[in-house]
Amino acid sequence: MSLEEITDLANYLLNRLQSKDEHFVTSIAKCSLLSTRRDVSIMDEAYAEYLPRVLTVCGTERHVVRLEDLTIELPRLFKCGDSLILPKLMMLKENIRSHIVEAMLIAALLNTEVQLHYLSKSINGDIEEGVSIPIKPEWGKELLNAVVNSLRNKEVGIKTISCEVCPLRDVCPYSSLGSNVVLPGDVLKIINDIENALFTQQATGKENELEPPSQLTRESLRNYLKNVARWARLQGRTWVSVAVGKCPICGREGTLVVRIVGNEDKVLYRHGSSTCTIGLIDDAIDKINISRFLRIVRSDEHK
Amino acid sequence: MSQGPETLKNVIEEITKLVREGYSLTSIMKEVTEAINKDVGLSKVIFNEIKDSMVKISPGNVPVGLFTQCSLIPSYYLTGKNPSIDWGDITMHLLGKMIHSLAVAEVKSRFGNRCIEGVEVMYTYNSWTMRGKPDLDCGKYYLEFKTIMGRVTKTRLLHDLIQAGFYSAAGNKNTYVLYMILTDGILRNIVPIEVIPEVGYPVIYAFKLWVKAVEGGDIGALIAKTTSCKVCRFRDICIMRTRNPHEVILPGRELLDDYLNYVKHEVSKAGVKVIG
Repeated sequence: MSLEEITDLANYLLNRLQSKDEHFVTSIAKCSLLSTRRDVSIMDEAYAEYLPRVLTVCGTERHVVRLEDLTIELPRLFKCGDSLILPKLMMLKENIRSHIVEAMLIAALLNTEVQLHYLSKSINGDIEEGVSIPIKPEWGKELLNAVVNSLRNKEVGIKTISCEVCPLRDVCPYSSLGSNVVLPGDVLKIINDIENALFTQQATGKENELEPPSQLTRESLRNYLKNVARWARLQGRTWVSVAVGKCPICGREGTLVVRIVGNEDKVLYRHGSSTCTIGLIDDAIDKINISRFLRIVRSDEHK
Repeated sequence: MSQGPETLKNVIEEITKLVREGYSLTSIMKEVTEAINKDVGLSKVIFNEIKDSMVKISPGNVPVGLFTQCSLIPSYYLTGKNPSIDWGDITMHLLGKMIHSLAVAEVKSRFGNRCIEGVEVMYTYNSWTMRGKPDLDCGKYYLEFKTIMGRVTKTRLLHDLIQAGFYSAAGNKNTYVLYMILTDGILRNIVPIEVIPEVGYPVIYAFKLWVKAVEGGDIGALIAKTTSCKVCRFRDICIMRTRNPHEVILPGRELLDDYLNYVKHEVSKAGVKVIG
């Protein structure tokens, strides 16, 4: 066995992993002109293929649908109880639009509700537990027309990725579209509504976390400080004054501060120009003393 | 997080009861999966399954991937310490594994039974065994898939190289690493790298030194390390955390410099930026 033979194998593999025999819904959702390119949607496909290895509870389904004279392949779906799930690894601001379009096409093609399910999400830096978004079959009807027209006439009917990252950008006549999104008007409205709901829900959730605990117990204080630290990370803040109390190190009165240092969340007391560092939140929780909480001033309130 | 397995246990007990009472298995399965979706959350179920599958380690057994990341990691597991694993760790762990299964499926469809999945290679020294699982055993050689997203560090290449080297040395045949190169999430290239058995000798030497140290009572022997402490899952509890986090340690590492340059050259040709 020589490296030449393995190079042959690598070329064969590259070829197999770069294109599909049929139009593929996951690729169409990125750009309808890339419908048979597997390489643009390979991460999504790979996750759905890999998941059954670790999750054996739910069964998987494969569908190939004929739409008029077109044959369209759907990604692997999960059937868990009554719900039909389109699994995705991580929700990012850049990919959510493609995923919603993909789920809308699947729901419309199968005429059933689909749950767009994320294992995790990363919207503001941290990676957290993902969410599930129900997609109704009637939302995608207009999209299907756009797909049929686009595949027949070789025009851009759907485009959710930027031409900057497209493998065909040098030869595509539509590459001047750049980062523009191409979608039927009603579809764009539905997507915007879903996105708004997702992001405002998250924002309001965080608001409540910044209320100081009404009863001061070890646990409630710890949770509050951790929430403040999480919020500070999301806002890109490194220093948040949370309370006033007596410093356990020097005995003076001071302002209790949550300080973000790299991956660590520390607490310290500030006395005028000097500070006493108590340590990580978990370690410091038994030492700190609080006489009253301060209202946390958000950066946008300074304006 | 500890609620997950507990809830599942309750669900299993509940099913056993229902089957005894004569319910059909299909309707029970339906209810169970609904319960999982509602109460535990599908994400949590997947999270726990992956977490359980990430590491299984017992005294006498050392997975090569962990050892080459840092020889302190198997030591920590042996002393009963477990890392805290968060959504980020699980997601990154999956990113590394995902595309392999697509590639494995394609290779199998081309070669049929010639390539076998799940073959384990072992090297035993003084009743301690180092183990590793190449992605495919194709008879005369092993195949190992690795994914590079946009750019790569030199130490990551070294880690992949010595891990593959161990397969070659312990199995006494070449390993071919196939780097799947992705840019902006799009597969752009596949780069083959040939790894001969000699590349694995420093790892085996390091393993022998580690076994000697552990048997001599020094469980925290830092003999091999290629992964930065900044991304290590044990970073919060590690006693070595004040050292230079990016430091690379491997006896005889300089012998691999030329080989590493070859790897670096090959992946650079495919448009990958090698940093560090």
